[in-house]
Amino acid sequence: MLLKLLCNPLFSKGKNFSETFLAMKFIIIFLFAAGLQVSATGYSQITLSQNNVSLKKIFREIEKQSAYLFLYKDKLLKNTEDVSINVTGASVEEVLDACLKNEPLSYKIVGKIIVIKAKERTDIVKPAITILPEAPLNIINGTVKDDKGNPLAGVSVVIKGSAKGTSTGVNGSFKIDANVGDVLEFTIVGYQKKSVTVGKQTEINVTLELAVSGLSDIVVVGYGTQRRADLTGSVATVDAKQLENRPLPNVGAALTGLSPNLNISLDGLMGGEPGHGYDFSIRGMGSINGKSSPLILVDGVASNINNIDPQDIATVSVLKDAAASAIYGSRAPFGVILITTKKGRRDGSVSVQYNGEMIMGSLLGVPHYENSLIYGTALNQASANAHQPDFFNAAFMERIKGYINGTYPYPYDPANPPTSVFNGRTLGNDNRDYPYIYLKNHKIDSRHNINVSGGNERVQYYVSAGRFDQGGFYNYGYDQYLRYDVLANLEIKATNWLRLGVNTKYTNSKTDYPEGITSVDKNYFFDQSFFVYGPNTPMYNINGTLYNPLLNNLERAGRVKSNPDDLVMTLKGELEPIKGWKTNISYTYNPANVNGTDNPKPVLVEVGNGTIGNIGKPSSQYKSDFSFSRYSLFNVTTGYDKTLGDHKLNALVGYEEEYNFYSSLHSEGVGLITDEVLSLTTTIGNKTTSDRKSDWGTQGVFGRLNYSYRDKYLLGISGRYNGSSKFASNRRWGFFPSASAGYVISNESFWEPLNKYVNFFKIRGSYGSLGNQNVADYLYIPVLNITSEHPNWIIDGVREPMAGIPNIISDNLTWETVRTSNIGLDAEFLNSHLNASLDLFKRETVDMIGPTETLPYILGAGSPPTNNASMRTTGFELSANWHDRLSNGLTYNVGIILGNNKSKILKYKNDKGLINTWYDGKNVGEIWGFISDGLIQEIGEKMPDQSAIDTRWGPGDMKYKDLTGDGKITKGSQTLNDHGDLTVIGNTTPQYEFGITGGAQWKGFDLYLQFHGLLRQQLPFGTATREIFWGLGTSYAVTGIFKGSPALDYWRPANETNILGPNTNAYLPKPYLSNETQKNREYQSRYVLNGAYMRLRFLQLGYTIPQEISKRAFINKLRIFLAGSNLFTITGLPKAMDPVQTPVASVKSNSPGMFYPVGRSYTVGLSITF
Amino acid sequence: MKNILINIILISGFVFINSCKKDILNRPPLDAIGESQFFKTPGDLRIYVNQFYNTSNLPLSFVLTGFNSAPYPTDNIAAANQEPIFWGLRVLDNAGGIPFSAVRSINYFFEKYKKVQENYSLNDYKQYLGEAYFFKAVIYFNLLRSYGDIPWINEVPGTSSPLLNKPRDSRSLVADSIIACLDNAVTLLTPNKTSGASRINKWVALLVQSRVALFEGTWEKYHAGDPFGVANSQANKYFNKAADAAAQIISSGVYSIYNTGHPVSDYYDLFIMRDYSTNPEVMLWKNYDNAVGKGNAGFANAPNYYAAFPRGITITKGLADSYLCTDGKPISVSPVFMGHNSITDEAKNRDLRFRQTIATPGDVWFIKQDGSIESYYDDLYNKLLNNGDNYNTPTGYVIRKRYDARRIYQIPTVEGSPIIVFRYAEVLLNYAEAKAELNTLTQNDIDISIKKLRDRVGMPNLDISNITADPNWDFPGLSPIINEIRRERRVELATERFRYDDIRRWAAADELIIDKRPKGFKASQIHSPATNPFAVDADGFLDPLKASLPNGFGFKLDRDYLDPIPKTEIILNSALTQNPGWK
Repeated sequence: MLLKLLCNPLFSKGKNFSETFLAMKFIIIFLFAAGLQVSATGYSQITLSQNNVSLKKIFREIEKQSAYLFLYKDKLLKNTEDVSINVTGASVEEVLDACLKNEPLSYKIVGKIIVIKAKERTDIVKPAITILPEAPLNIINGTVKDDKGNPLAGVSVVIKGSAKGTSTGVNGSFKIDANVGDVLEFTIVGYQKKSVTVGKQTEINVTLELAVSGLSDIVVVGYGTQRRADLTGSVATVDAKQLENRPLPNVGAALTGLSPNLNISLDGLMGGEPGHGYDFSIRGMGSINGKSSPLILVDGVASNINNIDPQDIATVSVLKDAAASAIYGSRAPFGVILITTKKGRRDGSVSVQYNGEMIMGSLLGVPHYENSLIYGTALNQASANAHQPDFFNAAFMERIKGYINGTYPYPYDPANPPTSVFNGRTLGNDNRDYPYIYLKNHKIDSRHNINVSGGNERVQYYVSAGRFDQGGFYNYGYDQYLRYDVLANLEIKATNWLRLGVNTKYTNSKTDYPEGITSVDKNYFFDQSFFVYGPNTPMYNINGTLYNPLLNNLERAGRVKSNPDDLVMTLKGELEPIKGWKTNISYTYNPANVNGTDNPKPVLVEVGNGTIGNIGKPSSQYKSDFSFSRYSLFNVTTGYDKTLGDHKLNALVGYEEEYNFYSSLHSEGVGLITDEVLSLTTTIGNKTTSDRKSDWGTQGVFGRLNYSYRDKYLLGISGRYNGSSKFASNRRWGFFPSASAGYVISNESFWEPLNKYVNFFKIRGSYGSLGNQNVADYLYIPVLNITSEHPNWIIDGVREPMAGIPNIISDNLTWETVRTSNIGLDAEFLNSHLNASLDLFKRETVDMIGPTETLPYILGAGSPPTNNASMRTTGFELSANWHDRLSNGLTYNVGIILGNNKSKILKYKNDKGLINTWYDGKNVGEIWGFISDGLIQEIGEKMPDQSAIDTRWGPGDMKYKDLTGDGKITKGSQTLNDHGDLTVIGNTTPQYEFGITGGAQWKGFDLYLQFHGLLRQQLPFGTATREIFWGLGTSYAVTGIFKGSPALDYWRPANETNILGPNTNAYLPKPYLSNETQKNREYQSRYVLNGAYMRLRFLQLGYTIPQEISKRAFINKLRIFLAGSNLFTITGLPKAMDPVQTPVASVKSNSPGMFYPVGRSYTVGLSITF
Repeated sequence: MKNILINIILISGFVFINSCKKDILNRPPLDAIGESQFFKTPGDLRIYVNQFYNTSNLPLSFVLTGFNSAPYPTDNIAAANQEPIFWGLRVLDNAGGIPFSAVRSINYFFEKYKKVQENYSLNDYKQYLGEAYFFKAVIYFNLLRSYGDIPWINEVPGTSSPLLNKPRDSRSLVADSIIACLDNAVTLLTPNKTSGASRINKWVALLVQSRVALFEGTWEKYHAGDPFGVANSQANKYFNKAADAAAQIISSGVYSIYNTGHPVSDYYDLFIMRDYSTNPEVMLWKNYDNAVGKGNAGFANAPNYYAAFPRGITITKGLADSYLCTDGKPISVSPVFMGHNSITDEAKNRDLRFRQTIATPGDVWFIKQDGSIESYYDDLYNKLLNNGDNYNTPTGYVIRKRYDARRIYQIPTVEGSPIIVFRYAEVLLNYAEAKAELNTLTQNDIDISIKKLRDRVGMPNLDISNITADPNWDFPGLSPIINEIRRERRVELATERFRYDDIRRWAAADELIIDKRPKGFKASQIHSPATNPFAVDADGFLDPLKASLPNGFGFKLDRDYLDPIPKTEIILNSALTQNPGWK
């Protein structure tokens, strides 16, 4: 019947997506139906006359004659005997009582449903105690010792399945009342858990083995799990202990510095803004074509990592090489981060946990302004250098001085007040440290999470709810992020061979930010605000009203709000009809929608001369965006596990399909009737509407085969055949295989003598290829660029639509292919006290998508992307951990990670060898520039002819080194064959990222700390506008002079009389308040800074109240903790810069070097488990 | 149980096969128009040509959009900030890319529009086809002015097209092609006058044609023999074309000079109107309307806000001295000229365009919202010269033309002041100049052209039989009439961004630029000379760039008339040669 339904044309006519969905629904129903049988009819009195018939038949008869439905498991009826019955007009209860009298069954009527149950429960949870007629109570004494025979104090001794327990004293002894058959569990951090079943003895002595690093741990890998010892690919894991109870806003912050070559960096200028996420990459840059982010899967579903509460994470696996991720084919060219959320328990207990944190944030890496006297003096000097009149004349400078020392009362000359929102910058003599006025030095975040986990062998559940409230640093106006998340994981063992699961995650978040200035976005506004208004800009008018237009803007320009909803629902079934043969079917549906609103307004600013200016929009507007996406993922895998003697075999094949549909609607209206009611209906002016729609899909079949012989020789093969809608039909499909092998030498007999030093030693290698489908949609279809309204021209009173020429299309665009080879080594030393892993890798990205080549201008368009480039990334990862327990009960561990990667372009179509683009052999990140040769000190000094750079040179200007020896400084034709005096002066790629973690526990106290840093990072400052570095720009509007920046260390003549004094031995050249200044600011060796650093990212001290005490309040565990983040940093950078933020701002985002700060934080937290 | 399993496996298999069969991977765009779906109706053509309505194709006569942008600094306007071309600061390494994307876009139109022919008659779409010809002409005119010889392309080249390595075409071929495009445009475009803020019409095409032809004609004539000249100059052919095109507009009577009989204010008023829909002189203007623009940045235009302060950009003594006296004679000889001692004196008995272009004492500076008034000199000149960036006034001659003193029109994000793109006065000037260059200029030609401009400001007509010799003529080697026509052009079109092109096409840098520095007014009239930060020359005139340009402008005669070709382009296309003088 079901098959018939599915084949019905009604259903197969529809879109593929809905069809699959329907099919899934039926499967799910079917699966339920297989486990529980339900049948139905009407109500009435029962008349029966049956001899020796099955119960089933009788039930059916009853259903026929009544409105009752029977609900029972087939299994229950198996051992029943046939019955005979003869009744007329009897009630259902009478009939059932009669029938079941001699059967091992009972019944219960719930509404119209009759549930048939076993008379006596035979559930597995039932403790063995029921066997015994009477359970004698034993008082058990004992001691717990470690493997060296030392007594262990503080070991928790708990009766399994109950809250009853105690812990060992100083001499390792304990005393507990237990029934025979109870199971005692002994646990302490750093040692393996041990369970002992209570017999008739009264003394139980236990020796706990030191916990090994987890060779037998089960590691989550693509579409399955593997034993750590059996891994042949490069898989790093971060376990929940490293994430639990740490005050971290999101998973990105949580994972930073925990796994080598898992590079997590701030995502753009607004990196520290509330709600902002991180940029992830594994093993560095993988493609010149956009981001090379890893695939992030949460419970198998590609998810927004920011929506995950770190508290809910059970395990994190980072799949780095092709062997580990080839099974994802083109979905995961640059590695996979697999996150698994917590599941319920099987032991019959229920645990309720609450975690709460208050996080106080303060500014970090935000520089202060120099005062306005210094600012004015420097501007005047740069202005004079450019042969221009004083920027602030002498009288003006007197006012500035007077204002600072209190003799001049006004922030501007009342006779010459500002006349517009902008010219306070040139008319004010105020003195304000604006960065610390725009931003406040404290904010508060809070995080709450409550979760319940429980279950038994049949049903396990984990339900969690969290709230995260993140404040921002804006001092005027405000910004905020608020997230609610709910997660429910339910697993049911329906039958011996069937497990069902439901995972639901729901996240609702809100961001609420101030507008940027009219027509510039928030990012621009943010980083410009740090210098666009100098310290001399009046903050207030003389009459006390607020003048600074940026502050007015922050407060009153309207709000940009966004409110995304994200719901991920997964239904899954696991069939295991034969031991070892598992089939998993799962279907995920992920509807997500975002409602964004934006209401820019006029911001009327009172100006010093009494007039009103506007820094906002001409008229108020209201914009509303609705977008939704529907993502569905269907996959089915079937795998077989078998051990035959020395041979272990594991095979898996699967099919997967994804479909994503996105649609959005944008509407805006002008002229709100009132700002109090924000809607389109209440705007009176023009309204416009536009929409966006797109969809994409992928399909793939994949498989994996793992084989091991005597746990010594390990072999793995996997691959995927994948298709993506993003490419033309003839270029759509690709096959991505991988192979890997491992050799556990320590399992060889000849290793025996080494065993006490190196108890485990494995070498492994892998090779495989992956595809990269992460390109824009529709790259292969030429489309006209339609704009519904002309952006800047009114024709006959309207903005007409306009269309632009399509981009040049390459019709043979296809995958980028990523080939990775990996050699790894895993070892454990000294009885597993020390474990270490080393990986060396080489990754080649071939058929990389790049522009065809730089083509002559006559083309009149950007070259289309084609698959014609290749690059290679090489690197290594090292991690090591030591843990031990001292005899005084102190356990501790120290871990270190170190990773590096560097990339080189192998092939790029650039026949002419132009150096300002990619070329064969180019190292990614390399900086071309001149070699600086000091500053010119005297007129007529011997120096090369620099007239190709600029015609004007004199004392204080830069001398460049003449590398070609021709007496001239030139850039040649900027090609590899002719680059004049340019040379490679550095490389911006961050190198040798490291992390050091340490932890210790002692008598309820726990300590955790984490250092993170880079051993090498080069930051070039080669363009005139990097205010954080140069201070003085080409005009006052791009000048910002910050304390702790090199800005004031510029060349001044020996006879300089201004307050800054002479400075001929300066670091920076002579500044000019004009474009002339660029001549001294060519990219050059002198201004490549070393951004290496080490930062104490995290320090935490916790204390767990002894259980004996907390028990009295019915609390199983109560932990309080204090933590601090980013507490101190060691770096060689100027003080005004932050080694984490500045590079992103000035190298990645090409901004003046300013950044929404991430800040430093102090946390108080509490965790209670009931 | 086995049955169940079999069922499950069958279903899975079914789903599997079914999914593979359907094309989940075939996903054409859902919200974009593919090439094959467009260019089907005249409306599509209209939408496509709309993209060419932009300020590089329709250059605004006056641009003040940012803190440091200005009318192009020349010998008419002095800017405190450096100006690379006249200062001779350009270096080959910094050569900008050759803008060719518009050529591709317009050729794409010509490649595709033919599809419309199948279902529509020419009348249905000739306006848009005409516009396409018009825009192709202006796109190429921009290239011609910058680079001279430039390849003429009629196709949309692919990435491996041999066209990419095409050598240059001669500038006369390019100029002829531009003029031919405009001939097509003229026959296709509507002859209706429309509001001037509408679509391009026939008359605008003719104006541009006269501009292009005059440009090429004078270029070929005056660069003859220098590195920028052409072998077989056909200057007269272009002068004829320029004169013809202008004559067609003049004789049509569609446009006339804006003249309400108020010589004191008509010229000034022309530039500060809020709406040019009914103005007889304005042939095309750019409308800014906040209600239509909805606060979009492209519709913010605040020339008044930016012109309220000199901001370091002021008129030179050279331009100020060009204005004739009311007797029609130059200041060098006119008995009514009152001398340079104060700007008030200078303005006395002068062509009324002087006072309508340059601010003089007593002029209104601000008309506040409450109706009260602030005047120049009462305030501005007191604070003048180096009192903050806004008041930086290197020459003392503050620009008044195109400045509306009403503060309600000076709010940067709200202002939205309209700007003239093409006006009829240029037609008259082009006509007179072309005729003069042809040596066929008659008094009647003057009467229908120059006289109209002079009538507006109450100046005596130019009498070609009786031109007063000016010992300070810029071009003593040229005829008096050419000198006077060039003077008229300089004065009438002052600050409207014509000067740079005029200098280039007249090859006039040796007369006007080389070794010269822009000077200002008499320093002695500054209220508190002690605060004057600028240098003063031997005659007592401000010499603001003395320190920056000790030897005068650094313009290089054998190089700077054309822009450099970026080195990389020459590497990419070996058939491409560098412009003269660049290395």
